[in-house]
Amino acid sequence: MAEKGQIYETRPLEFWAKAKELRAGWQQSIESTETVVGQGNILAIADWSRAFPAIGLVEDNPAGSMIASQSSPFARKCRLASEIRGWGREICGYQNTCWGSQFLGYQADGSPFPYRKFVVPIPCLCDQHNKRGQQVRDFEPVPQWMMDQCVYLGPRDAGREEAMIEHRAYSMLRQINDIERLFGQKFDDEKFQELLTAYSLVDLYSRDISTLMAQTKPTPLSIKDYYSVYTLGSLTKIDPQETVDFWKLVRDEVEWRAQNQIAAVGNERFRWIEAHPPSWHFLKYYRYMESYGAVCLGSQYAHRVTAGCLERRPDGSIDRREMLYYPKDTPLETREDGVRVCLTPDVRYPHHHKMDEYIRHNAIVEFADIFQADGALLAGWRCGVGCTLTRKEQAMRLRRAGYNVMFYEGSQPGDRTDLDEKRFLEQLDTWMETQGLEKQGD
Amino acid sequence: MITAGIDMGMEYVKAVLLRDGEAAGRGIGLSGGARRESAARAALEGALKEAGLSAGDIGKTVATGKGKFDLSFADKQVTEAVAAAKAAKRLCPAATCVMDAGCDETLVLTLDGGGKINEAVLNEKCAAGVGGFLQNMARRLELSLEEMSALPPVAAGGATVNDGCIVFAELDMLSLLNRNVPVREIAAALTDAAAVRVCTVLNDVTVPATDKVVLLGGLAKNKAFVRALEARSGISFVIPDHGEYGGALGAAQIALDT
Ligand code: SF4
Repeated sequence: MAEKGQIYETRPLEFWAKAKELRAGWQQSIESTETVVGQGNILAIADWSRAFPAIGLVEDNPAGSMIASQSSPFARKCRLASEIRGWGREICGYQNTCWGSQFLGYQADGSPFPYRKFVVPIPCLCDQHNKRGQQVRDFEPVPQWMMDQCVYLGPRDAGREEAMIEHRAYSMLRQINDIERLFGQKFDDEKFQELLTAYSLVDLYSRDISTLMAQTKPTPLSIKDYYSVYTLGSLTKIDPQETVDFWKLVRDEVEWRAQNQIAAVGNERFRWIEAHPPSWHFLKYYRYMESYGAVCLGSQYAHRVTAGCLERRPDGSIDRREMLYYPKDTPLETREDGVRVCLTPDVRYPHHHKMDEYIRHNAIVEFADIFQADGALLAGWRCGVGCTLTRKEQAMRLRRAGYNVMFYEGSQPGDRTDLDEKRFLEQLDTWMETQGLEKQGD
Repeated sequence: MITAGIDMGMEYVKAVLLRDGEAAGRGIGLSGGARRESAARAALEGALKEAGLSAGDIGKTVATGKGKFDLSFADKQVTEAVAAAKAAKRLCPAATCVMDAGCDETLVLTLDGGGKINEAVLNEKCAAGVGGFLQNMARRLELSLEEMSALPPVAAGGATVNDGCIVFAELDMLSLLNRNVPVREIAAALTDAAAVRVCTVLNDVTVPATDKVVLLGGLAKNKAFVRALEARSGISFVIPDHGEYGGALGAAQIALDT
């Protein structure tokens, strides 16, 4: 169907039906995890827990944002429960809401909170992310294994990264052994290899998708569409082969759209990027911007499966960012190989947009350049340090590099408390109108 | 041709009429945030009366301001930024920057020689309500806003209030009152805190303008505030007559131009 002010042909996405099916399957898997929890199995905070078949994963971030989207009154109750326990109001909304539900002992639907039996806090620059493990242990005495924070500053140093991988590989192998011993759980090595192979394929396909989004005008896929699939196979536990097949399906369709100039937004006139997660409860702003012909390409966060997937080479060309795998091209045969492969992107994480505050503000300019953006919309979250750190600096650098920048404010991506939706849309009007863009059809 | 510009502000609605591009009348109506349509009619009536015109004479009406979509008889709506840029260029053709500081919004725009907007920076929420904040504080101190605005400067080293959060500032004000600090000193401290908040918007501009910065909006006529803002920012503002009508004037000019 033709849109107002349409310049390019556009079509509905065909992979959408399959995405819905997979999401429904994921929902079911969560429900069955809850049943398993009721039988006394273990829930953990650890990425690699997926290879322990009887271990479920309850991470604060998705749990907190899910609560907030299910029930605002309950989320408010959770925040208060967390505050009464002594946590500050400025704590990240994901954490505050999830922790509050834990303190109350139940979830939005009244079912019991899935208490964690052990924790493996994931290192993060953000103090609040790091406290995820601390508050679980403060609440009740459960074992904790630390993932060491391996950070270095300055230019990339492959030798240092390899040393870090060795250190972390040792710690992780020990964690796996300890968990097997303490909880009587068997780590499924075969499954582990299978998962890692699947992830690396998903990574390749999603990098292709990011490249196509970045380099094709008009973009064949908007971030609004991408967000409806991007957790499939990363945050969610679904069948590895099914996941790989799905991502291939998405890549093929996006590639075809790019080759045939099928636009995500038929009136694309302005391309913009963001920084970090959007306000999950108010994704309407993407569609609102499309009425101006403004299409969102996403953020470094959104392309995080492929974080920093593209780079500008010294000769000016754009290519896929080289990933350090250790040992390079080693076949995946043993648990140790798997652990190293699994840790590699994690060790490189300090050179990721979120972790290194020194490269953070430069990386966003590179991202805007590669994605051929005209402007950037940055969120100033009031709670949660990690998601807002250096944001003003980023804005300054983007503006100096010629990108038009607008801000909006809210308490946090997963928290409705402080986002004035009307004001937000008015700010977008200002952003567009001051650049001479008008709503199509007006 | 007669064109009308109506600035549907949160506290006041302002109307400006242009006759063949020349200012013919101005009017103001108090909306208090809730009665915007009736305040607009009152403002327009005032402007029509001053211009010696009737409503039927108006060829085109453009609305701006937070309540711009509440005005049933507007032909077009434009954002406050676009209206402010237009007004600034009209009032000061050499303007390089415009700041519009009102009851509920503070915005700063940098302009190129032709009046095109290079950069638009809006306030963070706390700097938003600075005009409304000063109005409430005047009430608390049993002063009119005009009286508070006309107070002479106080010597440095006097009372201070929190300048990071206007809610905290209000509590600090109560505490100063309890300590019998003179009202004039408290008023100066509150005004200074408001200036600091507004400065944060100026600070967000990539290439700060220090020359030919036009100040529009209700706060442009608050002398004490302008003094504090100039001291804090180091900028000597261009303050046009009737700067509080800036948004309405810009809207009326857009009605003429489009
Ligand atoms: S603010 Fe961001 S980085 Fe910090 S805990 Fe929240 S989501 Fe994580």
